Amino acid sequence: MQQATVIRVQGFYDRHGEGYQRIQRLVESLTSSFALHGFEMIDVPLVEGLDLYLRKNGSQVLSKLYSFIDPDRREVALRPEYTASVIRALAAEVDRAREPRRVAYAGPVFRNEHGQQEEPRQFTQAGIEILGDGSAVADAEVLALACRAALGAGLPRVRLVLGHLGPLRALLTHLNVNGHAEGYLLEHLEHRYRGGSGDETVRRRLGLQAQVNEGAGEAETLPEHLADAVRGATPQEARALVRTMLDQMGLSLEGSTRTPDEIIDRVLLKARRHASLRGGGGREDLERALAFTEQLCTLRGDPGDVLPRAEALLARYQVPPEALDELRDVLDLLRPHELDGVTIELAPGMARGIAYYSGLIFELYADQGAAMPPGIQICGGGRYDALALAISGSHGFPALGFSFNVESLAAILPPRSESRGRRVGLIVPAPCRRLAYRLASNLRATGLTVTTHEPSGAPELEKQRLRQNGYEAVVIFPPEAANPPELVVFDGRPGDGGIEEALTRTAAECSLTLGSQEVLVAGEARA
Amino acid sequence: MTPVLQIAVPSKGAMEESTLRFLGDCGLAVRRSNPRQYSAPMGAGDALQAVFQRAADIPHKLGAGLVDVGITGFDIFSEHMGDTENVIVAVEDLGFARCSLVLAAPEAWLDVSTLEDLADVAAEFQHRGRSLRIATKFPRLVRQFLLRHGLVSHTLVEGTGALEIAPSMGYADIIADINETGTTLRANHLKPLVGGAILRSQACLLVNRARIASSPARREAIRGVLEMIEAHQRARELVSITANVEGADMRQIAETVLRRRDLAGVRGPTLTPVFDPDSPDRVFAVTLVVSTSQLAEAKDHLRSCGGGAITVQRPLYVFDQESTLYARLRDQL
Repeated sequence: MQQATVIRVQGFYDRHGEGYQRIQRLVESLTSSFALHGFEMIDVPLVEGLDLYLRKNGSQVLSKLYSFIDPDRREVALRPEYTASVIRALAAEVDRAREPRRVAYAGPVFRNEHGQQEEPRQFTQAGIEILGDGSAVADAEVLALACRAALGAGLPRVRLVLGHLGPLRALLTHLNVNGHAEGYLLEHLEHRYRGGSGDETVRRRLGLQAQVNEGAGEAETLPEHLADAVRGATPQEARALVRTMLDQMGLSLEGSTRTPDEIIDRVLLKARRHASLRGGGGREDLERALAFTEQLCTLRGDPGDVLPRAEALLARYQVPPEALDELRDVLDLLRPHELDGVTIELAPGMARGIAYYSGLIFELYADQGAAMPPGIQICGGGRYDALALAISGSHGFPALGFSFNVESLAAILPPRSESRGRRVGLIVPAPCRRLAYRLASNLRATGLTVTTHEPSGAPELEKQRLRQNGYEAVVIFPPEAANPPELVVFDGRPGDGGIEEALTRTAAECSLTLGSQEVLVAGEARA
Repeated sequence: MTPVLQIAVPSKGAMEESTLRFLGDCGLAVRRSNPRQYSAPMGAGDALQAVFQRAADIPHKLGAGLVDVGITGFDIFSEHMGDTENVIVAVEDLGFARCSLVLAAPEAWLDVSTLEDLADVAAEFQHRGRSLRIATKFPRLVRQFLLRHGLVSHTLVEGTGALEIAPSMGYADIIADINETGTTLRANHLKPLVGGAILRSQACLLVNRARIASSPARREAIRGVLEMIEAHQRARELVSITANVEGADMRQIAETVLRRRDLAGVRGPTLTPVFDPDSPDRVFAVTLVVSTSQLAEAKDHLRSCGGGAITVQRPLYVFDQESTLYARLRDQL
């Protein structure tokens, strides 16, 4: 059988030359912005226990997790982002120190994009976390840093879109909607905000719309009977009543990993929910919450325009106006940062994948002017005050941060012609190796990039090849060690003393005289 | 002579039996002299060779290019392969080994009938520091499904053999397993959850893209295989019905039959003279090829045209001008 060709794994790309340099330059630019603001770098493992991500992420990221069973039979995953690991690594320390910790990171993350064959499954994130600071001043500082880092990386203008989960959470509290319904509504808000259509799924999940329920047995209709039967009963009475009913129906609660009481309690809970939905109260609240999310996600634009509209919407739904206070505070606190080149937009209906976002959320786009489409998102983040406790299990503190998608940023930045290191080639026959390698070391010490080459064929062709590859000069050692090497400088200005002088000086340090110097000026030769 | 095309077929149990029966029905019978033989010629001639492999290994063998073609369950393919550019699903519905991968909870969980209920219970478990344990042989598919549906807090317990017993033995809370008729689940006091169907599956035919694309001889061989499968599948949906009908002449009978154009076959009825000494030149055998579901109607129609002595036959194969399955594969190569 013929040997199969080894091919690149789908969704992963090789990167070299300018493509590689571009990403490196951006990572350097972003991390140096972070460093200038006092963030220290942290690195965390590429592989973490699956459980870490299950504790943190929403289904959007989780469904793309690169998880697998490692050789020791542990369930692990390649990191889909940094925040969970950073919090895991520093939770205890931050909790103990009782003062904010500022860290930055940069490196590859992995997301398994299904079905989309060309979609990259590995990309570079660079970002920061502030752990242990719950202030609005920190919110504004993080926003300003994200904008400055983007501008510093070379974007002429950016658009900062700000959202806040306050209004929706306030409404849900006001309507007393919680548990799963809250999660479903948040997920729905994001779906609609991103232009998703239809609310049938969320209506079904909220129980506002009946499911097509094939094969539903007696158990499914049970809550209907129960709601009336247990009205006004104490919990103990209700349990006893359910037990009797189940006995009469010949249904057993034994033989599973849950106790009969656990099952009965949830049967009763379901019965109460059914009753409240039938009775109208609960249904009306959920319908209101759904309608509110629909209107909330249509709000987007200039803060001066959106804030009053958001206030009016809250008033219509009798939500206390304070729900918008934090967003107003952040806007006020952003002003002294004097961000030039930044357009600020408000989108109170914005939601971002993770259910743990607790307050401010934001996204950063390359601003291509009002006439252009929203453009490519390059950065996103926000505040997740409940996350530390959820991940560490015992250390609770506020946290916020953001991350840049470096490849997205690279894709929109205009290509920059970056000067590569100044290059010198040495052509070295065997007898001259010792001398040539010493010269190479000394030249490298002056900051020049030096490569050595075995002579192969005609010297003229060799010179031409190196010149085409961007070399500034070449030193050709003769076959006999006794003769002086020849120096050729490409495209230099005659007598400008640049690389020519550096080479001659360094050669002299190695007790080497460079003979028959030649400077080629734009194709011409000078003896 | 070395075979042109190697086809991996399941080597065990019900899947082996139904695959061999299916291939036989397609005119591609595996000629195995004893059941312990792991490879055998297939169909007429010696171009095709069946290679017996564990159903679960077939996707890997195909992916690695060790065989050219494979038949296995779509569930197994999806679990063990995911999306890969090496392997193409040439026929996703071979029409046997039908089953679903479903989430099933104990019947005793009266409060749980839907996936949303299960998510609630999982959240309740998490609240108490427990994790919902799900026993399955399909960890990849199950995990993807649960995460896509937001059921984040769970632990998979990988198992082999009979998983239905796991909840009552206590090493898992629920199961995600293959369900054909529901009988085994019911017998073990389990019920499938509404919205918990993870995957519907049946036997499928897979090919290794590179191995087929790189060889004209293999392409010709797979074309032959796909043609036979397609002809067999098409034949299963059709019946041929023949009646003796008496009339003035051939044209008059044809016109009477054509009054129901929808029952008169693709191009029209076939009429063959019957030499009835009592009614010379007046009796014709009228043959219609109709879909099985139209059989009763076609029979009544022929009767209403004066037909009698009605016989019905099933065609073994129905070939079209070109094989649609092969054309589709060729486009993907």
